[in-house]
Amino acid sequence: MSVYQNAPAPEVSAITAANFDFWYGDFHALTDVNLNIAKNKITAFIGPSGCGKSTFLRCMNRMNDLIEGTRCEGVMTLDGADIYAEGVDPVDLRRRVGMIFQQPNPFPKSIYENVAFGPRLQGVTSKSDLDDIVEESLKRANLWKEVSNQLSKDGLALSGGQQQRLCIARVLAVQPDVLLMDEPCSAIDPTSVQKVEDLMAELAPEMTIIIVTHNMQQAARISDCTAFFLQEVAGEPATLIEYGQTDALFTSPIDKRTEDYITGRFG
Amino acid sequence: MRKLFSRQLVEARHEMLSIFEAVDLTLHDAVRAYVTDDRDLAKKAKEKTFQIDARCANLEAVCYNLIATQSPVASDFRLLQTIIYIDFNLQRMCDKVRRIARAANRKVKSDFEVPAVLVDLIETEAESVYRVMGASVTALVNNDLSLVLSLSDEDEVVHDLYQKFFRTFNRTEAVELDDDAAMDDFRRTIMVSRYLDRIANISMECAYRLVFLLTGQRWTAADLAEADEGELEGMRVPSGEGVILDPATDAHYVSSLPLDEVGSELKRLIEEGREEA
Repeated sequence: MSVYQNAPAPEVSAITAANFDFWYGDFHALTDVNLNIAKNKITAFIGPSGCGKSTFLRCMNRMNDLIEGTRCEGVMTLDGADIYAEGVDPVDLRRRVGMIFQQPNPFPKSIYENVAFGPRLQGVTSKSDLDDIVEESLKRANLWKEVSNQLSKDGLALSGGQQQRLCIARVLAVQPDVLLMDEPCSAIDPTSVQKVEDLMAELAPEMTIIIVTHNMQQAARISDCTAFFLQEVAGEPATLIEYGQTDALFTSPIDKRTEDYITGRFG
Repeated sequence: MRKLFSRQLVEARHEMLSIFEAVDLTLHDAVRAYVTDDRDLAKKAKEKTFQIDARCANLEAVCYNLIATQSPVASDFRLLQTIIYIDFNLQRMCDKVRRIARAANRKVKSDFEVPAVLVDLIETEAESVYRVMGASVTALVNNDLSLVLSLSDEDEVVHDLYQKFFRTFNRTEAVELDDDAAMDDFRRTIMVSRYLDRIANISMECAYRLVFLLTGQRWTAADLAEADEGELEGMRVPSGEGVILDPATDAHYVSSLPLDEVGSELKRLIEEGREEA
């Protein structure tokens, strides 16, 4: 039985990885990762610390390019196009594949300027157009009602949960196709977690979302598909162990290592 | 925390098996009370069913409490789902055992004497039911999927006996009874046979749930009728200690069952346990 049972087919995938390996200098971090990320669905990456899930996530918008000495082999595509091909502009790629980090990282600017920052870089200069984008993005991030009368307030003055949703609004403002979220809820309170999860569910029909999480219940609760990564031996590269529909993976995992990890027997 | 949870899962599994054993033994009492017109035994059997009901309710609460507090997944969750399903069905079986005990009580009080041929048929049918229950318990203790597949044949024997009882009942000259109450008592005897038929069927359904526990697949009875043993074995998925427990430990919890009604493998485990004890 394949460990990719019920996984999305390539033709309905937003991102695909084939025989993908990754190195930090001499350290072989990931090996032989093959998976198809379903389009307009939520996919969760789970696994113990150091298993390469964040590394793999950051490969999807070439954030690792910013780290000296990194390299990859294999193929990774976005809507069928190789994102590591010559001529691909990483900045343009990152517009299409936005990212949310563990710690909310709003710019030390007003709420309005945080959201308008991306569109301005893309050349939007009309005040009314920017106003529309800011309002629309904040509404999509479920933040508009809370900040509509204080758009000039410093983004850093918001609560942690609000800051995270402001960061999501900032990403949404440039209309990405894919949203990468690296433990987006680990630094915010439970109420804010609920709001971010609700937001993800609302965005998913029109956007591919990939989330790295250490919270098993969160992965089970919000994702359509789940991928389990594992580094079995310290110093050896990590790899994808099992990938499939979330309900199947959390009910009847095919690989013993997945069973042991999600039931808390190790990790 | 994981150790405590694992122990709680194992305890819940053992309690499920122990209740299964209690239902089986109480059925023996209820049927014996019916066959031998033993009113005291009928009363004791009925009282035992209430105790079983309480244990079932408690086990259900334990399972839901574990779900609420431990957020189980994978085989832990499948095990709890299976225990809840079987626990619910044990309550259904227990209800039917209680009805047989009540019928036994009424039979003693009634002026009408149930024809011996019908009583004999009920006794024979009950013996087949014990074998279905014994095989069901054996399958659960040994995680034996092949035994699950053979259960429908055992259940068919019970169903054939029920149909035979029904035919025999219809041929009996009940119309000669003048007393309405006696007529009702006579007619109620058919329900005893019906309860036995249902108990066997529910017992088989409990064992069928083993397929879900071990493979994660929800197969229907119709699917299982067409299933190939090798195919089913190949579908097993990894499971934790609550599911793949040492059968000898499980056997301890059903060791009071009559040895001729359980499978040879469970019989061996029970006998080994007795020797060690």
